[in-house]
Amino acid sequence: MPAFDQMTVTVRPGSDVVARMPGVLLVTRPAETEEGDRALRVVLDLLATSAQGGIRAPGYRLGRALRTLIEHGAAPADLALVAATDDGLAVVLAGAGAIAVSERGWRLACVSGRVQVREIDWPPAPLLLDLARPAAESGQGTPEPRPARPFDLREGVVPGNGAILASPPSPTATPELGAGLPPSAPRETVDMLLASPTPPSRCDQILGVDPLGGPRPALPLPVTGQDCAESGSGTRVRGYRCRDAHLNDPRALFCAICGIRMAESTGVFVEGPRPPLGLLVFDNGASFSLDDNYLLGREPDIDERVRTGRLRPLVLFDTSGVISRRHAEIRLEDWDVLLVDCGSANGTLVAERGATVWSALVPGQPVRMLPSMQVRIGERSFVFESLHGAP
Amino acid sequence: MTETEGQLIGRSPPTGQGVPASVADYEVQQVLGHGDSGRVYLACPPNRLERAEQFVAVKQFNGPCLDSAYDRAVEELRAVSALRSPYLPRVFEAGLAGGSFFYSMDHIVLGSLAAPGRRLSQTEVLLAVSHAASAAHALHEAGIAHAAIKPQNVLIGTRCALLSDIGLGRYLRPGLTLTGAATPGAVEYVDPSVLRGASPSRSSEVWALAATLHRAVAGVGIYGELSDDEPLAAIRKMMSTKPTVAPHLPPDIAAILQACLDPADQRIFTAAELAHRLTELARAREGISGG
Repeated sequence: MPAFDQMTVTVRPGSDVVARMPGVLLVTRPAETEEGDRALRVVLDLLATSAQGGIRAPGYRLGRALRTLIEHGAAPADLALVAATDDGLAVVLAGAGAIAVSERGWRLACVSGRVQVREIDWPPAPLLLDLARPAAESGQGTPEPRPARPFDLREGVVPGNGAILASPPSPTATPELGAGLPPSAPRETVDMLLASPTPPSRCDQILGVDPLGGPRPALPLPVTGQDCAESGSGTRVRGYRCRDAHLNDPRALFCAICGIRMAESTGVFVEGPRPPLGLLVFDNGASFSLDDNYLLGREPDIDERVRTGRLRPLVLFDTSGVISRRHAEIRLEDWDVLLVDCGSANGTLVAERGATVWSALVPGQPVRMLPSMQVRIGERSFVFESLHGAP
Repeated sequence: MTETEGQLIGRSPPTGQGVPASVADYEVQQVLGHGDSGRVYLACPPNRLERAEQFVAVKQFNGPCLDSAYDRAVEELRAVSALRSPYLPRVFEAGLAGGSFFYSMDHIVLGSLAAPGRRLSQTEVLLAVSHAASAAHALHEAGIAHAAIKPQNVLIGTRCALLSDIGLGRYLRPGLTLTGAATPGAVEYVDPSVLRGASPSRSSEVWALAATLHRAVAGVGIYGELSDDEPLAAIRKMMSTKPTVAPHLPPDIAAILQACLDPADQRIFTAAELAHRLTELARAREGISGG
């Protein structure tokens, strides 16, 4: 039997309509008119049709079909429905329809009266489907059925003010919240899914509002290799210029920008803005230009140097829990890139190009990064891709 | 809770992979696209926005956003909006939802050059990139580089193509040159000079427009197929080899592409010039097919 149909359904006493068919649970309030009766029959026929043929996951098709009916006025304007999908639930809410996980304080309702159709993961605790009461009836409060009693609507159409879709009691252990639910349903996902819409904590109109800064100069034209230097941090270094005037590390054999041999350089030791020294290429492909110093960690913003803009924060996420809030620092000194472990709890590992052995850094002791050096911090890793190829 | 800007590396923050019911008070309907920097949703706008549109697109960035980064991103979006270019989607508002930066904009229904809603002719692709180039030129004249030109961001509107999703990562994630492998093949649209640390410029955007056009008309990238699983290898290939125009392309298109991929001081100088050449080429082709 499909998992959805193993769940018990408790009906809350009342005068709305609760319907359960294979793979589907509905709470609705049809109008007290012939049109209302007709709309209810249309929906019940749709549910019955969807249940025919033993379809395991009617939620996908049902959600779309029901939305169309509601939008054309052929189905009751107030309803809450959940239906099985392959790995969760399809939810349709219209009018006063809402779903809630009371034990977690979650509630999802229609906003602005629009029909909502969405797919969600299984909630980690019993799911209530109900309809907001008219103002005259509010405050009367419908008592929840005692959970210990073995109420269960297996199939059929009955009166009720709401329905609670729960998990069956575990045959082997003390019942607990979420027992029997698929383990793949991440709690955070459901939390996010059922979070009520709330206005943004901060918002600013864009359309029709002029920028504060006024007109800017157009981008320069034409562009030459000089803009590499301009995009650096402003730190000045001494080096040699290649034939095309790109400033290079005095140890480099080839220009980092145009690739020509530095043997053809001007031979004059000059000072200029330091160009980016390379890239940090992470295992997921994200790449960061080494034109400034960085602080890597779980919460680098706790560091005063980040708050004051002296270090750029580079937040590392992982699920292993071994990355410290301030884990490691990337420091640019002249033409060198230095890596420093900030006394992290679980260390920073490095391996030189082609090496298979990882070494742990001594906290607080800077290590000069060599081209293609690999760094591992918790589950994350990155490679230093040097542009200048200094030995 | 302290809010901060930061580079976000590794797995997504622990918010799960499901589709949220809402971003702030925008009712989310479905995911339109996702990348390493965030997601784009189809959403119903809240009443307070007083928009007639039933749906808008909402881009939400991963991770927290510091006030200073927020202010810069809003300023950038307003500067773009002030251009009133027909080739740029309208951005309605920006905000913070759960500490993350988001903004809402026009929902363009016919997909993008990367995934068009219907098959596009070669002439339509030329015109779409021409419109994107016009948008880029308008930005450049206003002192703004788009910094994220790629097929996914050239949207196919009913009357013209639009260049969307200006690269705000520069303000939200300083130092970022590539947003990661979550956007397939994103690296092939980044001018190697930008990979080397140069700021996005007119010439790097002409290059990106050419890479975009090449992918759309040739079906392959200008570096062949770069592996998304090996980002370092892809970056090294781009920095060590020259881009190649596919030999099977018509000579007129190949000539324009080559003129955009030449060294910076020899390539087509402005996006406007590229837009003009692509429009002329499309018109000539229309004339041929029409005659």
